[in-house]
Amino acid sequence: MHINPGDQGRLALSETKVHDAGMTLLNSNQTALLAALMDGQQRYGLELADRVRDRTNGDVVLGQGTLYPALRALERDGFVTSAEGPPMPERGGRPRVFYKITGEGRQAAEQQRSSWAGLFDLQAMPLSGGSQ
Amino acid sequence: MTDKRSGPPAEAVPEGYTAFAMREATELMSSRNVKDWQLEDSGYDADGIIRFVVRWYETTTDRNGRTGDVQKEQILLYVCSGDPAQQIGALRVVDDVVKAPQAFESAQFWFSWLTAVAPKRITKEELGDAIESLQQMHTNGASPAQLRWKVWTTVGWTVLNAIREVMSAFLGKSVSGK
Repeated sequence: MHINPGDQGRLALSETKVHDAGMTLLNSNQTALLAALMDGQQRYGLELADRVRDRTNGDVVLGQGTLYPALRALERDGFVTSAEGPPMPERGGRPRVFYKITGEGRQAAEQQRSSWAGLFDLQAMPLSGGSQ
Repeated sequence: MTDKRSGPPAEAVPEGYTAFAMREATELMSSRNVKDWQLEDSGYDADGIIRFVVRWYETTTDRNGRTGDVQKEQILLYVCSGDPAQQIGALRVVDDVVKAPQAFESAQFWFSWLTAVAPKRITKEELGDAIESLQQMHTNGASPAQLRWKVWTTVGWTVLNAIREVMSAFLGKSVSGK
C-alpha cells in the first residue's frame, strides 16, 4: 500500500504512517507489541501478551490469533529480531522464541507515538476553528 | 504430614527440602487466598527433584446457587541442580502429575499431532507458549472445561496460523498481522 506524503491526515485511524522511506504501516496490535519491547529487553510471546494486557489494564488482550501473526509481520518488516532459547522440559522440550526490538522498530514506534499524540492534540483545538 | 526421604540426604539442600516445600506452599496458597490447606507430602528424589503435595478446600457455587467445599490437590516439582542454594526454585517444573486432568492428555495428543504437520517455528513457539499458559491456568485454579477450551482454541489457531504462514510464503507477502 502506497501513501502520498500529503495523504497522511486522511489515513484511517487503524493504519497510521510510520515510515517516510518504506511507507510501512503498523496496526494497533503491532504497535502495542513494539511498545512492550521498547525497554530493549528480550521477551517471548506469552510474556509480551501479558505485558500488553497489564500495561493497558486489560483493555488490550492479544490472543493467539493476533499475537503471533503480528510478531511475525514485525519480524518480516525488520522491526524485531527473534532468537530461540534453550529447549525447556516444561514446554515439552520446545524452546521459547524471544523477540528484541531493532533500531528500525524503535524508530517506527516513536513515529507511531508522535502520530497518535498529534492526533489527540487535535482535541485541544477549539471546535470553531477546527471544523473543515 | 509425612516426610519421605529418598536419594540424596536433606543436607544437600541447605535449608532442608521440607522447609523449602512449606515455604513455597505457603506462598502459593497465600497468593490464592486459601486458608484451609495442608502440605501432605514432601520428598527429595535421587534425580535432584523436590516434590511436594498441597491439598486444600475451595468453596464453590454451582449454577443452581448451591455452595459446597471441593477438595483440591496439586503436586509441585522443583528441579534442584548444580549448587542447590542457588538453583532451588529457579527451574520450576510443572505441577499436576498424579491428577493430571484429561485436558493435559488431550493437549499432549493434539499438540504431538500438530508438531508433526505444522511448521517447526509455529509448533515451537505457539505450542510451547500454549503449554506454559495451560500450566499457569491450572495453577491458578482453572476448571477442566476452561483447560479443554484452551486446548481446542490453541489447536484451531495453530492450524490457522500455519495456513497463514504457508500462504504467506507461497504468495511472497504478508497475509497476516496487518
